[in-house]
Amino acid sequence: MNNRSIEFFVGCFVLVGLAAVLYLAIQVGGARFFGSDRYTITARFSSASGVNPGSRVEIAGVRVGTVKEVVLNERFDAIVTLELPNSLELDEDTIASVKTAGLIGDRYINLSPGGGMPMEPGYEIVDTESALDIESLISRFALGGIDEKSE
Amino acid sequence: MLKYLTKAILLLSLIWGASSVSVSAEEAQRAKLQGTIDAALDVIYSDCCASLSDEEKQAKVRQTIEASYDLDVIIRRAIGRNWGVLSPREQGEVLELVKQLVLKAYVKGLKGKGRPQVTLGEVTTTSEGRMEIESKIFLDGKTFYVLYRLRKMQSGWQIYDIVAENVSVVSNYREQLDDHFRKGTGAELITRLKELLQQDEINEDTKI
Repeated sequence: MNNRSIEFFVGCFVLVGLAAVLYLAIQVGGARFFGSDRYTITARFSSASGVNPGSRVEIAGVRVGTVKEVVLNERFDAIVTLELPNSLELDEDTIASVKTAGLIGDRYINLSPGGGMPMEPGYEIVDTESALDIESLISRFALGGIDEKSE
Repeated sequence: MLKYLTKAILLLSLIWGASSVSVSAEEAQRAKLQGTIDAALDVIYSDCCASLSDEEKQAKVRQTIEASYDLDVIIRRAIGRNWGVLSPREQGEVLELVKQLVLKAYVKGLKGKGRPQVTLGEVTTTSEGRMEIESKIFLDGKTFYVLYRLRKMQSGWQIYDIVAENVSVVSNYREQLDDHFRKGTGAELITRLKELLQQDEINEDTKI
């Protein structure tokens, strides 16, 4: 085997190695060459207490996506960014609710699809239900209510 | 210079005009909602309607509400994607029965109770063509917070959801109707609604 053949095989080996490293980096990083297979929408809540990046997004108890970001807007509303698969088509009548798994479980976002016009990526859901505040409910109903005293 | 100044004044007037139109639209909807709520409560509590039967009161409340808002909007939204499951005849029948049920619950629910005081609060434009009106209801020494969600449609501004104490009426009924349609049909829903209408007691525990 002459020097030229050895160099050719070494070159091929290096190229295969580089391709493997590139493939691994893409898989680990979740990058896509031909666009993402996910899209994001936002939902505006008066309270998103307990919802964090990574929280589940469910429809009928089935996990369909993930909370990507939770931030505050200029009106002090909580803006929750939801990441959903492209295969999931929602409509503009969809209602987003903050729910709790069990009594003291994790908070997650439940989507209730309606029957309206299709939702475009980047749409902001304003029809939302914030989490029920158990402490507030107890103080208002079980302990006689704080509102009556203040009214 | 004068030309630029004129243009700037014109632009400012347009911006001011647009914002005042938006503010007046919000105020107009607030006044319309307050008027409708007061008129509906008058049917139950004012002396002029005291001699009316429950059925007559229901009809009068319906007439009052339908003069301002289309009840179909909120009911259709609660039915959601199951709307297509119903035949055109069933769609009409379900709309009518749900309306009767809601009005019966309203009249029966307030019977024997003191007149609730309803105070409308801040009006917020949530997105283009959508607004929310906050309200406080004082009833029998308790305060309830209710949010009215309105949307601009071809027929004008319509209430498309009511959120009582953070619980959406549409979401609540959509959940119940989804459960029904998972195992039942439109005909069975109509039968169930007719059964509910026959019952004397309709309260918060009543389920579809």
